Amino acid sequence: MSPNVSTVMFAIEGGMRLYAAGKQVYVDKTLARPMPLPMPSSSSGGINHVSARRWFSGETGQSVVRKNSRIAALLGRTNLKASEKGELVELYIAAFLQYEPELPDEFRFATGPRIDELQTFITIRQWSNAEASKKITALQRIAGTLVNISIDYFLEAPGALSDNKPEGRALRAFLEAIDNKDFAGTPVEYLAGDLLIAIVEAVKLEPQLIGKGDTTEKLVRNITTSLSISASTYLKDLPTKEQRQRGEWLQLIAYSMVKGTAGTVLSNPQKILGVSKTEGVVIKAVGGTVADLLTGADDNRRLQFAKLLSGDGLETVIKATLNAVTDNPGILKIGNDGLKKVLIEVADELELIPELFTEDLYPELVRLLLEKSSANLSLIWDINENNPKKHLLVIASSELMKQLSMTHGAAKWKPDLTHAQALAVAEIAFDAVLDNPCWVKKIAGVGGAGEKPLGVAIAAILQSFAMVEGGRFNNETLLVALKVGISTGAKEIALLKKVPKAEAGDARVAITSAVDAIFNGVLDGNSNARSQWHQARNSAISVAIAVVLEQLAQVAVEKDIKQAQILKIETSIRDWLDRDLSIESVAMEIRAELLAA
Amino acid sequence: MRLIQSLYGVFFAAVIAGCSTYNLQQAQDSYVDAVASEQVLTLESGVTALAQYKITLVMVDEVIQADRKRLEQDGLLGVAYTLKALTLFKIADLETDQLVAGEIPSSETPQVSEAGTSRQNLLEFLRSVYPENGKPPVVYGTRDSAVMRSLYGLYDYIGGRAETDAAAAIRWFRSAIKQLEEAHSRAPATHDVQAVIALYELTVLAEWDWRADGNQNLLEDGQGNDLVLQNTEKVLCRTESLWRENRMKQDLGFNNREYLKAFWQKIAIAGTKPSESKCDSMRENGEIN
Repeated sequence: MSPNVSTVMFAIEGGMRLYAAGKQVYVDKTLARPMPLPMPSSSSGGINHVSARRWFSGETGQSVVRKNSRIAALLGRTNLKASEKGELVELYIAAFLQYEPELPDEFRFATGPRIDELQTFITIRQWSNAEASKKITALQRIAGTLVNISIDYFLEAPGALSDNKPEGRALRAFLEAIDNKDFAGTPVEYLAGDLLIAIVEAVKLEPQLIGKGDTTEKLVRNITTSLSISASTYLKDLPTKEQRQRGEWLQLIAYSMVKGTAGTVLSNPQKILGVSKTEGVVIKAVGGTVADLLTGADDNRRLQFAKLLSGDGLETVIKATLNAVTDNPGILKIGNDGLKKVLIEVADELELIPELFTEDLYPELVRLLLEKSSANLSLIWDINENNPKKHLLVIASSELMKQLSMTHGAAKWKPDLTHAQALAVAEIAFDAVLDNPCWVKKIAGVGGAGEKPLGVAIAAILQSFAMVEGGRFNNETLLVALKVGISTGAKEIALLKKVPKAEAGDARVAITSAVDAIFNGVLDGNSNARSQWHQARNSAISVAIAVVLEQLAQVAVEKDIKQAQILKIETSIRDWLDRDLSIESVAMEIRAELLAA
Repeated sequence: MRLIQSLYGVFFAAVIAGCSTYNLQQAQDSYVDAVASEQVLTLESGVTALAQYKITLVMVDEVIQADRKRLEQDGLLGVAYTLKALTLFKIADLETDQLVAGEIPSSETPQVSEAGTSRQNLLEFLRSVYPENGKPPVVYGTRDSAVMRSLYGLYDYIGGRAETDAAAAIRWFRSAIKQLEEAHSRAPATHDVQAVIALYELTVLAEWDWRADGNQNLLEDGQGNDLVLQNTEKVLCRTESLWRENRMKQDLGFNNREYLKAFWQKIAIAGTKPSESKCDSMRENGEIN
């Protein structure tokens, strides 16, 4: 279709306006451009013998001179040769780098040029922070870049540049957020294009945002604001290359925040997006926490979380964090730092098990922990503490990971769980703790020094499975055993205590002893082949463990568990196998035997 | 859409082709390259940088001559003048450095040498576009205004370096410090440019220290190392928030690590730094603000 006169006139008018605006951007940019201001040259050659003499006469220098006779000798002479002056300067630089008490570590331990070799210039902005905020907004500074990128992008998506389309509204909201004087002087200039594309693209891919214009705009505005603050906080003083690298993470965070929050936000916009003074609080808390971990100053943390949160994991964690905060705003009362510490603590625990320290498990584990936390915050975390080490589910996670990472038994066996199975165990553990917080508190008579009931219960089951090196039973049986171990331990604490020694063996935790007895009975090979075929199946043994531990828990209410009862379990299991009956049908008999023993 | 795309192309072509700003930006780029080449640690870096500064001078002169009116209308003439003044300063500085290092024949006195001419060019240009006293003829940005005032001090500094007589050199350095103190007092207290003025002062004081070393006559006149030490401590205390990590402030610097690097190098050159209590005392006594 050929353009008509009106279209051409409109285009010319638009072009003229664009020209004027664009020219002003160029002018502003040239005027405000930071410029390097070099130092003048010097004849003294920088650090020289005068510097050395003065420093060695100071308090720190004198202590060095007392320990070094060569320095003392050089300082004692008035007419030093050129080579001796050079030697004095070398000794001074070495001493300065080693002993100058206030010298920042980055120079003391520098691997690059020494402090005497540094060439200095400082890049200075035209305006101070206060002046810049009055003169030009970030949008003005980056208008040229944004126009360029937006035209490229929207040319590929005809019709999207409309207030009726989510992408169009997202673009408007993004520009509104950037058009804020608070961001003057931030490196958002480098990132704006990437952030814009990430956000607009994510909005386009969320069909549920269609027809939810105001909410979409508010969401985009808050996300943009949150990440711009992060850019200002973490990227401001970095070299450009580093800014770009970390900026890529901010881009991914922006994308994941839109994708991860769209559904939740639409179901409850006011609660998540807030109104007036509370607007954006939740989004900023979540975005700020994640950005801190992935783009903050701590190199090790960035590496750790880059591994854990690549791909969909980031979206999962953001969604889980946002849901948790929305379900229970109390999580925010512990501050961003508290939330961050929880994420770190779980990551650190998971790092103990290299095979589980992956992007698959961590986000799901965090999701589970936060889901459970938000529903029971006051129960599991004293918000006055702000210490993840006192978050009961973090403790539970720690106990679990510790046990799963340890070898058990003489054969040094350890479970080989899939991520889904590890997660299932975590859920069992978390539910147990929510049912009874004492699971992660030290209880007299249960476990050794520092051991908590949860760790004791998990270890007890793993000990038994280590006896058969796990190879005889599948992981589903192990999961059932862990669940039963914890649930019966919850009913009767005696099952977590050691059974007093008898001639038959060493003192072991009642659960271990009981499960060992079951395994011994099942695996001794003396029962008939048909019965072995029926009862030694994993599914049957799972039921056997459940029944026996249940009966033992009931008996323990009435009398102490003794070694005789454990031996009776083995006999009962053999008897059960000989008779080839279902274990449920002999449950009452087993109980009677245990009571009689 | 195609129409918009075409207009977009036309728009940028028009901005770039018709705008003196663009040429000024190119001159700025050339200056930045010159500064960068000076930072390379090679024997030739000074020569390379000098050549690059001279190219920059040609570029900025062309922009000013061709577009003075438009630059003034856009409020950019001050930027162009500052760029030219900085470039003149560096040319005079590097040529003086060669002269002092004996790379220029000794038969040429500083006054008639290229270095002397360049220094004179700097002074004349400063006087014409940023008088030492009175209102400048064009508008300058905050940084640029402080830089122009500081350049009077750096002119004196280069003069001192070119002097063979130590006592005369020190008179230049004293004057340089006075000029830089004036620049400091005129610049806004919370602007980053204060850091640069302080670093310029420390550079002058280090040179003064070096020239005064061992010269008893100067010491008797009270112009020697003790006076340098006193002034050095004063400057370091004034800028304590830029280099003493437990007192560093976020509101001033936008690149704190860069400041840290620059100041600690100067501290190593000075061989001294004032204690926190000494700085507090200077502040209480009103010696620094």
